[in-house]
Amino acid sequence: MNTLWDKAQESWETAEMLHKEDLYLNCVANRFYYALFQATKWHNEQLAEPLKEKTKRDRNGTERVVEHTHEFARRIIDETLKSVEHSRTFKDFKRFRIKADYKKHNVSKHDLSSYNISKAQELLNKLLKTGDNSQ
Amino acid sequence: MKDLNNIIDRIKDLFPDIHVEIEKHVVIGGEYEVSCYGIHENRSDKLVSFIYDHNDELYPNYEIELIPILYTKEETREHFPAIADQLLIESISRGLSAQRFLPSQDMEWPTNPCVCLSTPAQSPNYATGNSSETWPINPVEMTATDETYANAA
Repeated sequence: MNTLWDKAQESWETAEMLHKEDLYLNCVANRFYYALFQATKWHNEQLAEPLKEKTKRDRNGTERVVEHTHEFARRIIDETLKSVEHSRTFKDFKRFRIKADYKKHNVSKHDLSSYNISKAQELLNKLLKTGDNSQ
Repeated sequence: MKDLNNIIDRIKDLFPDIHVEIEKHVVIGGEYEVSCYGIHENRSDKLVSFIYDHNDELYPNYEIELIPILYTKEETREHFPAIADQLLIESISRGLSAQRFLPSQDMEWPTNPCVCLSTPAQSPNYATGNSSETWPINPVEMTATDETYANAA
């Protein structure tokens, strides 16, 4: 059992089901993004030397994380996959998710085009294939 | 932050018909939303690429993440009518300026500036009587060539 791997799959399948029925595109965008985000965290944990969030020492000498968790995920994608295309896909779905969750306007069919979703599927597959212990 | 203030100017240079704002939206980290209002949907990919490329070029060490948030003309009109009105005024103003340099300089100046923007020759919708389009024809978009946008990339 690997919770993050399962969660990524669950998020992706939920998004796909709703998208096929043309339902709740804002929720679809949210779940697609989180599928990628969870898969990214899982992928990082499988690496021989996982990346760590950036830290800084405060005035008292205590080490503090200064990198936001979603920024950290972006860096994992960039630095471990080294693919302009995958980096772009991750950034695109991140902004769709921000639009879906926080903005006045709705995620559009143009945002969730077949092309964009196929790019996200490629990225998800790449992330979840990491290592040999994917179930 | 390095060059952050110039980003709006650079975007406006290439996309003069939109309104741009940058807002920091988290306490920790360097995420900035670049909100772009009034973009035509078929130019949105070009604008997003432009912002991503700037991000990579200016902040290669992840100090800042620029997140493009795009509002189409219709979405801007629906949710931000004041900005839509401002863009409309700017569009008319640019149309009048552009009109001064057209070859037909000697033609009589129309009393109604809207005539400049949607004559039958310029606007298919006008010619067909389709009045569903509420956004005015943007003279800058009409006069810009593909090369203009290619240079913008």
